[in-house]
Amino acid sequence: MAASPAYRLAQASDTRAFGFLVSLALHAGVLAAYGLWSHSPRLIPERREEPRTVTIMTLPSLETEQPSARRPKAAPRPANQLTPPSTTPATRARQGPQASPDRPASDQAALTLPVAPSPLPARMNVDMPHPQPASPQAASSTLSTARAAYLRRLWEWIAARRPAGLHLEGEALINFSIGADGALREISLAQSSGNAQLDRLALRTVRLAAPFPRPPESLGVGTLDCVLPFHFN
Amino acid sequence: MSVISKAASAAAIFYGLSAASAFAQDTQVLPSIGIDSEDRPAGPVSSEILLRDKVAPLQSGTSDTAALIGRLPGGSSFGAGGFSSLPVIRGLESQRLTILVDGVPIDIACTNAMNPPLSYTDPQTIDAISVITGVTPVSMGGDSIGGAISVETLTPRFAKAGKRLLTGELSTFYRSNGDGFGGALSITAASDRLSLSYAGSFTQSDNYKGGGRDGTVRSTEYKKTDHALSLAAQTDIGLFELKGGYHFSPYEGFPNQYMDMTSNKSWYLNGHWKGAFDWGDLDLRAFYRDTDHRMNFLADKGGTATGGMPMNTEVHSAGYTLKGDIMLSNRDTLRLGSEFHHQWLNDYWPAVAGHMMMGPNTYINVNGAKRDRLGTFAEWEAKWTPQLTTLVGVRNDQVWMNTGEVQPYSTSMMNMADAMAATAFNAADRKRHDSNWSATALVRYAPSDQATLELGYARKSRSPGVYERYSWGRGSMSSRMIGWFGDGNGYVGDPTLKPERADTISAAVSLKGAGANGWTLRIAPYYTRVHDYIDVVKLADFTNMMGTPTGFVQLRFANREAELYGVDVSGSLALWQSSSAGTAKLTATASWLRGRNLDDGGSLYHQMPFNATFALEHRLGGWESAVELTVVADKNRVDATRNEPRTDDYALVNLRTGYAWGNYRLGLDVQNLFDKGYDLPLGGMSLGDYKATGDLRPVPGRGRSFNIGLTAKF
Repeated sequence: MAASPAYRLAQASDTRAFGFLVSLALHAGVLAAYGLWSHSPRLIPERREEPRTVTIMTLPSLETEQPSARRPKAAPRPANQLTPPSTTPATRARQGPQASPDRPASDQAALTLPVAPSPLPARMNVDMPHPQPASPQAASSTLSTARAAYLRRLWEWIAARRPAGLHLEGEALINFSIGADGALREISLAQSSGNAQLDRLALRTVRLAAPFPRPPESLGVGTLDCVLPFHFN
Repeated sequence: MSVISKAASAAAIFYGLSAASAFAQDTQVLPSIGIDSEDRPAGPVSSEILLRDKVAPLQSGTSDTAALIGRLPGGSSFGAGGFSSLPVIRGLESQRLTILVDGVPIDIACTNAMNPPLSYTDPQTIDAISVITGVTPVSMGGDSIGGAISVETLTPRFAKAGKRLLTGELSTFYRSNGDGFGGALSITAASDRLSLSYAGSFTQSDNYKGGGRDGTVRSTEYKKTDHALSLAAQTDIGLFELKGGYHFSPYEGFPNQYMDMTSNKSWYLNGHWKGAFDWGDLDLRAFYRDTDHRMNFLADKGGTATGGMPMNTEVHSAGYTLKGDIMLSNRDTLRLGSEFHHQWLNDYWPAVAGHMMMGPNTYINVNGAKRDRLGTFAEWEAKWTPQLTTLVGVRNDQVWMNTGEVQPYSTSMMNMADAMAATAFNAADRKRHDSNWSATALVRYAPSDQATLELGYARKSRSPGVYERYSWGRGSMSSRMIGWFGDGNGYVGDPTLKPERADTISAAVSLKGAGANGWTLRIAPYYTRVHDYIDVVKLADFTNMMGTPTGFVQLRFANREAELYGVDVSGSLALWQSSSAGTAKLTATASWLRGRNLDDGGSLYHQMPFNATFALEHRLGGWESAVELTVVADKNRVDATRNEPRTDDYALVNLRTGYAWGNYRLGLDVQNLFDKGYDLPLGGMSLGDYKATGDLRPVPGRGRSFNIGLTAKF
């Protein structure tokens, strides 16, 4: 080993003083930035502030339509109806446009979503409340219950296979139909997200989820046609 | 009805707006499935992930990324320079692990491993650190026998559709012990398709003071800066990323080495493409890195006024990794991959003018060594039920190594040992080719939301590194320049070393109480048997001028048999939660392990003694605090072959508090509150102090330090 006489780096003490000054300057910089930015309007949505454990929108439970019990003052609606859920603002914000409560309901889709405010879970709510038992005196209600239960199962089946995101935002709508045996009969893109990658992911997710659980025979349909939106963010 | 009419489709899209009379009678509109890009797929049970929000509060306390890994159950680190410690997972140190930064490997240039992969990262600009401590699937990397560490920086961010995004973070910190300070800026400007990001950081520190009466620990100063620029584009054919960066460290002291780093310059260019197809995903990365590394003496070891002892290294690395996920069915995914990693390394020690021993020729330690590795793997993941998942994989790595002829400083009497060794080395066949097979199998079973069980088996292989095979000097000084163990011993390579092969059985049970405020508990035992473990055999005792042994020894890398076993435990318990008193929880981690050399029955080198950390964490609004107690048992199982020192048990108390308001955060913490003096169990020998004082001691840990950090997001 070549041991040389003691030699102290000449800049050591200068470095220390310099370091202290730079550190002071940096701290001052952050404080100044605070002063400036706290008076300027916020331009950036605070995505980073969102809790990371929130993984997916809340799926409200799919329940049997019981309009008279739930909304005594509302005008009666047809049995096959989609009613947007009324949720907390935070949930609403995460749910995308289709869940907006301002929008009028269509009168054909088979799902009825509950009107009662649902608590905001921190995680994907796959353990949704089970459909309420059908009222024994109403056959149509039994049919609705069976359909709601099946659709709920179908949604969970597909949602469990959802892909990882691409740090891209967009909404793709997929049309698909399910045969009586649970097989995928038809699939198409009803609305593009604007990005072919996201469209492909959405199509792939539905295609790979097949075969689906068999629809109950009580639904009495040959094939079941569905529309499923995928909301990427 | 088999086909939905166009009108029905349109109605389906706008079902919320229209009366939808065109809807087919039985079209079912399902609620939207939300896909959040921040949501990460669940990793193995024996894994940890530290996201930005967990790393940020710790960045004012350390500039050493590997030290953060030491906080995780099963993690520890070999002491080295202030930002260069070598991570250890379950008793296996960094060269036995897969370490990726932004998805690519980084080659260590230095004979003392002074510039390990994580030294090119700074906690101030890290987005996420993922660590797998248990069985690491073959798709996560080859040529390693232990766990995996993956650090992500500058993850591309894009604006919402049709919007613009300008975001970033500015931070700075100061540490009282060693007058350390630093700052970082990361900034992203993006549209919904294009994203341009920059991240830069700077940090510097003087020598730190040990606790109690340990005084200043010499050769612990450092200074470095890192800069990276990334351009990413989201297109219809996938995500493209091009990222380049530059690292410069003008000096970094190494308390446990004879040398210090006097310059490390490195630049890189990484390309990345990721595409989603109907059949699956493709992910391609290509990388190039060029590193220029210099060692000599900083002031504490005598400086360079008389020339010191220059040692220079150049490394070029290039390669690619290609991974394809093929979705075979809703149950099966086939993962195929190929990777190539080329390493070229030159290590030479220029002659010192007028020096009797270090001249007249350049000492050529490694002459254009090449290490090329081609890896291929196939992995099958099956989700049998929502509760049961299996993962089975097989992998082959072909490793080709070779190096050129070497030369000593001279063939004089003083360099006779080196001269003879060089002649023998040059005459020997140095070309090597290894074909290494690996296989892993993992079963994960989650009988309920409250419990997950994981059982894994791995057969992993690793070929020796350039310095393990091609270090040849037999002189006292030349061999003491080799080694990343910080023990002052001399190391000699062996071109005939065989690859290490390890069989690992690892289990993990993860339990949690119901509800958001419950408890968690994870217990992960493991056993690893390593065939041809690259350890050492003793060649000679070093002696002083009088012929008396100095306590340091000359060792040769040699294949031995070894086993490691232990258990990692971690858990948390919610204490209270209220709007007025905030939330409080107790967390604990503990690791216990044994590493045994089965040839001599002794302990493997540098095995962390039992250690545990208990923390009480409290949060009230933007105010977060923690009291942390770390206890480490005495290290009395030591490797006699390397004269490893015993170290005493100790307990440290750390306090941390931080207040966040809006986009700003102010953090204050006190490390080693009671200024406890202690020796680092894996810190090696304090050679910087030894050279200055003549007293040899293990490297002392840091004494009390008050740290302050400020962060502004915008």
